Amino acid sequence: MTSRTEEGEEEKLLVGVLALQGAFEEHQTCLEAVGCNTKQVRTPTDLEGLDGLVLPGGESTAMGLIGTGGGNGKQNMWSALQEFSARKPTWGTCAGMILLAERCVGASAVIEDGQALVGGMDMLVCRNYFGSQVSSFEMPTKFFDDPNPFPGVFIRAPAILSVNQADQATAKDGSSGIQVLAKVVATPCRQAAVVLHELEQKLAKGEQVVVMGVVDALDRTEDETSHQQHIDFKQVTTNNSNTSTKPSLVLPGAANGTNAREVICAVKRNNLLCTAFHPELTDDYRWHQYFVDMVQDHAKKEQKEQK
Amino acid sequence: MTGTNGNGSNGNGNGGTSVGTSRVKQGLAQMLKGGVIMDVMSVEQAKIAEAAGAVAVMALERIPADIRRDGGVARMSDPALIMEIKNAVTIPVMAKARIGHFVEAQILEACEIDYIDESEVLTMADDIHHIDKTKFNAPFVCGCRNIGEALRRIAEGASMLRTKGEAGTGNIVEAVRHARTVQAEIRRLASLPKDELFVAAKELRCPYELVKEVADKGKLPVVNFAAGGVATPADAALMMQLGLDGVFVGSGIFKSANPEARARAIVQAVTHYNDPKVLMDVSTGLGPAMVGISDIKGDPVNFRDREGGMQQYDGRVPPKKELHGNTEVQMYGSSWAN
Repeated sequence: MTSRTEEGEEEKLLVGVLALQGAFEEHQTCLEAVGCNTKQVRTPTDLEGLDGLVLPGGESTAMGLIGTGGGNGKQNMWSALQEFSARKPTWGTCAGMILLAERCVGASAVIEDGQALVGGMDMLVCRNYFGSQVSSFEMPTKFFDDPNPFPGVFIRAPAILSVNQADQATAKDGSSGIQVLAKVVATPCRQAAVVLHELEQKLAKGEQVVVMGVVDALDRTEDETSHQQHIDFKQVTTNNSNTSTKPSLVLPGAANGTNAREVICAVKRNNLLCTAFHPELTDDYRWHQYFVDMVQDHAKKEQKEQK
Repeated sequence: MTGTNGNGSNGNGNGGTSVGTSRVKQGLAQMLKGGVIMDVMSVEQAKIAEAAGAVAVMALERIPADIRRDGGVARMSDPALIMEIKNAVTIPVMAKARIGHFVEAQILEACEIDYIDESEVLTMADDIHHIDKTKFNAPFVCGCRNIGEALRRIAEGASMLRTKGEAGTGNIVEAVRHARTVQAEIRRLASLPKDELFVAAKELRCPYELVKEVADKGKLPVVNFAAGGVATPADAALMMQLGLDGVFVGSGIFKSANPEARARAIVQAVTHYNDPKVLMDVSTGLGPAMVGISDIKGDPVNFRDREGGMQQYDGRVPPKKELHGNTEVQMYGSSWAN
């Protein structure tokens, strides 16, 4: 909150918002409220000159399909996004968080290899963890050590089931490794519960099922217990090459003997920030300010390196 | 099909959790912005729509073009179809309830539908009252022709709006009229002095508080999509350039020669609506669009003027066409007749 005003007004940061689909205008409003210039990003050339990027909420499947060309792909947005998020501050909210995940489970009956992901954050995300729209909710969430909680708006939201434990262990000063910033206790929806159960069974057998899983939703029947064996849980290797180090996967445990589990809803790793909820739908700009500070620090660091 | 995750079950152990708030209900519509919502009648079509990049599907037994052609009472879809489609796709699933039919809406909410369209395309169940949408956790989308109708629906609890257009015609003229009308009226309200807003609210037949909010902000308080007559990528981009937030495509896709290609093209057109080169690319070689209806004025079916409590027979009967009995236009009048 400090550095930007000290720097003076002449050099405003330019933060892009991926505008393939979703709530990109809301992010622009928030970012402008904390003193940034913003730009809508639809093509790889739009990424030039940006100090940071926000992947907004929306439908991750649709974004993936539009971004990867949707069949008539002349301009592959995806590789450009991967290249950008590898070196510059990038923040994913909700659907954007799914895009930044290395691994994603949840029903995706359409795309053979599941959701198209940009990747970068070594975590396992469960799409639509909380269920359909009637179960979307608002809940106060933790914002660092601030006694004032942040109004979390969860809309058909994903949840982070686990982050790379080995990576997390190295996170001490915040310079590297995954930091877990906030958690919520919540019951998974029926579909998510099935996926979790399946994952647990695989883990019990000692399998490393941390690659992208595809569950054909049509294989599901009414009874949750009777059809677990029918689930076609394909194992597909991620498109990223750094899967040689197999991370250990620990699923969140059941809390208080209920079906509820404690899942992660905000993480940070180096230049990447992910939130499962929607700060852009509130008039509380603390998360936007936090991200802009990340962008500011990164821009400063880059300037020093150039000198 | 009741999941383990009923209303309010989230956030166990944490205080302050609330479902069905207007922020959550309007928020989903905000997430759909810049996207295409497609009418589908089967699991196969739903999968085609999802694979094409639709942000949501509308599960219907008959698409509007068929309702126009075949007539008869059009009702809510069978929940079996809705559940089948809901299980087949990961994107949100919407369904239509008849205007005023709050029990159909209750059933759809029990199906855990993601959005309910209180739709003029279905036969009206109540010609005076719309559904009290504030009572539901499921959000509602409603059609509007003008700002008064838009704000009446918001007052009743709608979380999302769309133009009415004239569904099933493949003719964009009504959607354009409704979009431009709403925007012109917003500009007018924004330019009025504060002391004239009270009468403006009276004339628009909607709550003053909403009129004032629109006048202050210069925009609608909820997301507004285009609907009713979108048949080509160019139609979709036209509506986006006119300032709408996204597009519903009903009959335009599955009444065309090549639904897959057309669906993908419309999705790309909505994202890149300001880029004529992309629009040229995606418009190329799609095959024939739906045939459609060019003479909306003369067509016996009029979806757009169906609104609870707004229909008046003013005695002006236009010349009769080859029909059995009066048309709805003849009975109720039309937005064209004024």
